[in-house]
Amino acid sequence: MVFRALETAFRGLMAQQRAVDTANHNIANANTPGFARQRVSLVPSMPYTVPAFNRSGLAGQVGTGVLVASITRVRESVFDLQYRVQSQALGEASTLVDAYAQIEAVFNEPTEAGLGTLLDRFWRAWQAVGNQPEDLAARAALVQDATTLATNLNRMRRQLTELQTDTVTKLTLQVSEVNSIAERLASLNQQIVAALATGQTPNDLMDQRDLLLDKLARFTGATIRPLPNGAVNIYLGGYPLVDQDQWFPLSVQVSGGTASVLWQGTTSPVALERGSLQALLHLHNAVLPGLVQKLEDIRDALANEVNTLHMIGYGLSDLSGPPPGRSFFQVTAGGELEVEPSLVADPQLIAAADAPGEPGNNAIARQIAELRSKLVLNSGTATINDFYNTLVAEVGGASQTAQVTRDNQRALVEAIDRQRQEIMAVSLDEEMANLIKYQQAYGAAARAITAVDEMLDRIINGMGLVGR
Amino acid sequence: MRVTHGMLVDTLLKNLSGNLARMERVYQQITSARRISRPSDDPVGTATVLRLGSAAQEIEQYLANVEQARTWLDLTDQALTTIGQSLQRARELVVQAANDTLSADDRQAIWQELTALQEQIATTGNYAHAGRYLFAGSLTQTEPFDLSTDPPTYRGNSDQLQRLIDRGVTIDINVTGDTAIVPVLTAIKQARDAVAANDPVAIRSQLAAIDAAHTQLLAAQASVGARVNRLEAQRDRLLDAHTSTLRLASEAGDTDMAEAITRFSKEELTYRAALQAGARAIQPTLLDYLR
Repeated sequence: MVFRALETAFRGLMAQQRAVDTANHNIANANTPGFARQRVSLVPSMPYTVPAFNRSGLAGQVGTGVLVASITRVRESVFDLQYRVQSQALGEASTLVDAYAQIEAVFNEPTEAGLGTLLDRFWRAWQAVGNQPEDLAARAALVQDATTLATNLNRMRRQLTELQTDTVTKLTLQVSEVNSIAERLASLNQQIVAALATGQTPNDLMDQRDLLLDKLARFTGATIRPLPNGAVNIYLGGYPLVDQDQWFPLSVQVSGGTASVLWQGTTSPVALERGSLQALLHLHNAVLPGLVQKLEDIRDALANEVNTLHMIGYGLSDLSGPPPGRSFFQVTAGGELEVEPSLVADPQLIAAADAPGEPGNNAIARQIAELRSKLVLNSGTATINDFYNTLVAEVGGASQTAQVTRDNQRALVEAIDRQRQEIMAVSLDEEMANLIKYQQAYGAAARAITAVDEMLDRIINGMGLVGR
Repeated sequence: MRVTHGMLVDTLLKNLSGNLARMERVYQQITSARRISRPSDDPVGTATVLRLGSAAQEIEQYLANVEQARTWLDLTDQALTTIGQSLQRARELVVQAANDTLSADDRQAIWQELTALQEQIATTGNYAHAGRYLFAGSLTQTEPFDLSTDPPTYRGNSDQLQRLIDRGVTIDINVTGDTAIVPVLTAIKQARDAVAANDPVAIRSQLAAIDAAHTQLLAAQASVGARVNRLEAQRDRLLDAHTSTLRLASEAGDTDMAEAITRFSKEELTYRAALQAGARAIQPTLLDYLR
């Protein structure tokens, strides 16, 4: 019976030591991202039924000490699920916010340097020519203002096209990140399944896998399906990205100005549904081309309307009819707007008059200046300035919507994460208290061994020596 | 609720950065004096600011046009006044020459003065402003009166010079030489011929032509005066519109300083408080009290 007490005390010693180990592990990982605190669950070991032929007067069963039943993660998978679903929308909105911030920088409004002001200056320059059609200085100033306008329109168009190219770069980087996550998930699945099969609980591996799943959620709208054997499968639009220890890489394809994410080695597009990859595709295939198109509408309206009037006019040096038919703007093969080079070289050729040889005639200059208020865009419902202002407001509105969505989504994700953290985060105070609790229990168990030892000593060395 | 130190630190960092972001935004509004620095700050406001800014630019240009047109009309008026005075003097001379008692020599002297007056009127008709002839119609680079002929021939055209003074509104700024000055020159030439012929009856008959020319000159001057009045009214209207447009643009786009500074102080207070509270909250753990 005494030997059994030794065993009981020893079990206590071992169990408390394991608990101290776990508290140590928690403290060490207090700041590790994705780490869920671990708890040792202690259970009393199987009690010993004292054998007897008849019912003895003794108590029926004797305790045999403690066992470490398991070391488990304190984690609520419901919150993980919610966190990932909301992260998908957050990843999408954040990507849009970043992109719109860059787009807004391209427009650079409202400032004195924005296209709106440059358009105003262009129209004003035509009126100045109208006021002094004979004056070469006014004409030279017009060429300057028109060139500045054209240069900035081209710059904006080019920068938006560059943003579109950047989007493909980001897409490629993120897809390779998704591939790398998928690869690591497949490998973790393999290790976890193997560990579980041998009856172990691979807590830390599972934490790592959960962290990767959290990360993955930002990129795509993947659905996660846990399997009974402990592996998780990940599906994109019904097709597996990770199937137990297998994974299927994605690739980026750009053809005909449209970007798509495909299953590598196939021509099937991936159903992304949400996440930052989806946002990048949306930006590349819809938002940016739409904006470029609108700038091109402005460019074409400017060139066509101004040219139509300019063609029927006469420059200072045109002394007889018919009109020389010079255009004012030209659109290059690359889509750039520029002032007709002959006019830059000789501003006298700017056609301000509607009759030859009349230097004081400003009829064409006036008509061009009045294009400012002509409804030439949006199927005849908007002036060029209106159209541009609306475009800026649209960009601002879309950007604001993305910001609001991002802020709301972030608040939601943070709230869910907070709920997760309430459950899984390591509290140092708690661990310190536990450490002391287990340390004392360890000490007490050691003292119990000493007590048993003394009892044995009494029996072995002290018994039967009466009177010595 | 179970709160850990990590969560406390996270909350502190999140709130501090949110606080700084709000402070930065108000700071930017104060230092730039603009309420809107990016279209997404207020998309509708941005469109309003752009539209009003553009309207102000448009009005400023019309104001500049009005000023230039005004200058041209003022110079035209001065020139016509000078011509009117010369014509007045010519009429006096013709009345004098019609006097039966005058000798041929006296009439010769009057003829010479009339010739000088005719030349002076033609020279006035050749007045230019900044290299542009006032009375040549749209042929502003051509001297309108050819002094080598007698009477000086008009080489301009009868085109009106027009200036935009409002959206879709133009004003004629010139008086062409053929309507106002050519009749004067013709009348004086005819009077000179009659004086040279030493014929008092013929001289008297020229007075009607001179008066008719004078009436035409006065009509031209009256029209110039009317147009100057119209320009002044237009300028007042444009100035009013400019002021109200700028005021609206300022309301839409400028920072309300009193409000912004109040908000900044509030954010600053919150930030300081958050720092202070944070510094105290994240410091102690149980470790500090275990010995």
